[in-house]
Order: sequence, then structure tokens, then C-alpha cells
Amino acid sequence: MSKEVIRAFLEASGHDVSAIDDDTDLIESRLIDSLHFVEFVFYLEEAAGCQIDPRDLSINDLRTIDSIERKFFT
Amino acid sequence: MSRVTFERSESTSAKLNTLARDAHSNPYHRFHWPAALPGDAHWMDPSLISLAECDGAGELDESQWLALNRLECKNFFSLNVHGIRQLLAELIERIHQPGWEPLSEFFHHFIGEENGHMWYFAEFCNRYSGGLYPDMFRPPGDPGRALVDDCLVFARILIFEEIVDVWNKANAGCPSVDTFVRELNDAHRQDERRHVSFGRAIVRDVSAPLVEELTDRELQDLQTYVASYLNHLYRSFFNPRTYGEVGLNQPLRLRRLALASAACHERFYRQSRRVVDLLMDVGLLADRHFLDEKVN
Repeated sequence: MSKEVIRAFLEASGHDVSAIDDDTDLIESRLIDSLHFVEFVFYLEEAAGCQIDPRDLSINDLRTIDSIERKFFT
Repeated sequence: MSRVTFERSESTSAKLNTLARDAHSNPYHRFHWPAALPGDAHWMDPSLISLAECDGAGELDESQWLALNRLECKNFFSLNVHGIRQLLAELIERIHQPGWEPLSEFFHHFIGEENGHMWYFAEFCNRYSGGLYPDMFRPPGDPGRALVDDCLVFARILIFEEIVDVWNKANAGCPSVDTFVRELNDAHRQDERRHVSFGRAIVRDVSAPLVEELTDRELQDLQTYVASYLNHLYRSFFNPRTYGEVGLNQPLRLRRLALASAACHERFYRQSRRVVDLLMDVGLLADRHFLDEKVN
């Protein structure tokens, strides 16, 4: 379910989610760039129901759908 | 750097160097910092508040409006601190490097003045508002080509400074804003005028060869990037932390409503008109209605 939530953001951002695997590097492939980074963080806050302090985040936390799920939804 | 000629920025900076020497003051001794600020004064021009003219604003009572006014001042000053830190890092990468020598002296003034601005905005937040907001609104990453990077660095600096200047001007001239806060905004404007003059000259210098060299597709990517940066900056003025701290429910929903509101769009188009005119003129922006209609 949480993976679908993440995919929904990427789809709403104009990306073809059928080409994105759970281990696709979202940063390297520029599916999430730094301009949209904060919007993505706010989106995750709302979906996960918690406030996220950007100072506690590592770029690797947001690198793949798998890593995002581990960090925010488990 | 060999394709860039600093025709405008070199002559502009020569004049600005003299002005900067004459205007130099020590930011650490420039202000008398009150022990506390009056509890009933605004810290921002109320017309700048993110929820002004927005449908969601009906949810706030008078004390919440005042609290939001002060927290948005904290957000504005925090944005300045984080924005300045990032632009200083970019300039320090370039000062005294091959190709940039004609502008080195101005870069020294710029770096020194911006360091002072960063200090007094942070000092204000630390003294009166419990510290800075964290750097939520990060700038874009490396677009990957030297000439493109040079152009975008100075375009970002100019966009940021031109829009901040509009806010500083409104705050400095607003009678309901606390006197000391007005003084800070006015002091910032005095230095920023020189930075904006330089910025307008160098953006023309660095964009001219680039726009000529890029393919249509590359230029379109560059214009998309500049439009994204403008959207990014627009959104950074809507900090949901401030809404939550004044007790508003569903701050992220409220933020989406405000971001998408026609009144907020119009206000930002007014605030950014001067720099957008220049960006359109030099070819770095393709559409003056650059704000995204849809917010995730």
C-alpha cells in the first residue's frame, strides 16, 4: 500500500511509473530532483502521518521506493 | 569561461566597488538589539502573509494572525540565511578562479556583505524567535555543464535577491511593522541594491553566449529549470510548520489550497515581475505565467 502511495506521487509528477521498479534509484535517475524534494517530503509526512525533520534525513533514505518504505512506513 | 565577456558586469562592478567601499559598515556594531520586541507589533507587512487573500484564511483569529505574521518573518529570515549560505558557497567556488578575475573585487564585497546579512538575520531569529527554521527548501542540484552552471548560479542569485528586495521594501515601509524589524529590512535593501545591479549585468553577460550556443531542446530544458526554480521559491514562502505552530488543522492541506489560489499566484507574479521581465528578455524563461497550476 505504501509503495502505491509513493508511486502515486511520482505519477502525479508526470513520470511513467510502469518503468520504475522498487529498487530504481530515484535520485540518480532524477525522478525526484532537489526542486521537488521538499514537496515529496511534505507528501510523505501526510501519507505517513508524522512530521519529518530534514536534518534527520539522509539522501539514501529517499533513494528507492524500498528505502522510502523502510524509513517511513515500517 | 572563454566565451563569456563581462562587458556589462565588469563596468557595473567597477562603479559598485566604489559604492561598496563608501557604504561599508560593520554589521556587528550596526544595530542596537532590543532586549525584547513589543508583543503586539507585526514583524511583516500583513499583505505578504502567505494566507492573506486566501480562502483558508477565514480559519484564523486575531491572535493567530499575529503569531503567523511573526513565524512567517522567521521563515523569511531563515530563507535568507539558507539562501545566502548556498549562494556564498557558489561564489567562493569562483572567486580568483581562471576567467573570473575581473570580478574578484566585487565578489569580495558581495561575500563580505552577504556574510553580514546572514549573521543579522540568524541573530534576529536566535534572539527573538527560538532559532531558524531548518533548510527545508533546498536549491536544485548540479545541471552538469560549466557554462550552464555559471548562468544558473547567477540567475538563481538574482531571482532570490530581486524577490527578497520586494519583501524588504514592503516590510521597511509598513507602519504596522516593529521599528527594529523595519530597520533590518531597510539595511538589507541598501546592500542588496548593489548586488541586484551587478546581478542584472552578469546574468545578461553569462546568458548571452549560452542562449546562442544551446540547441532548441537544451534551451527548453534550461527554461524549464528556471521556471522550476521560480516555482520552488514561490512555494518556500508557504511553510506548513508556521500553520501548525499557530494551531491550524491540516497544515499541508491548507498549504496546497494557498499555493493553488489565484490570488497568491497574482501576488507572486507582481512580486517577481521585474526579474521575470529580464529573464524573458535574455531568453532564460519562456512563459511569464510560470507557476504550476497543480500542486501534489
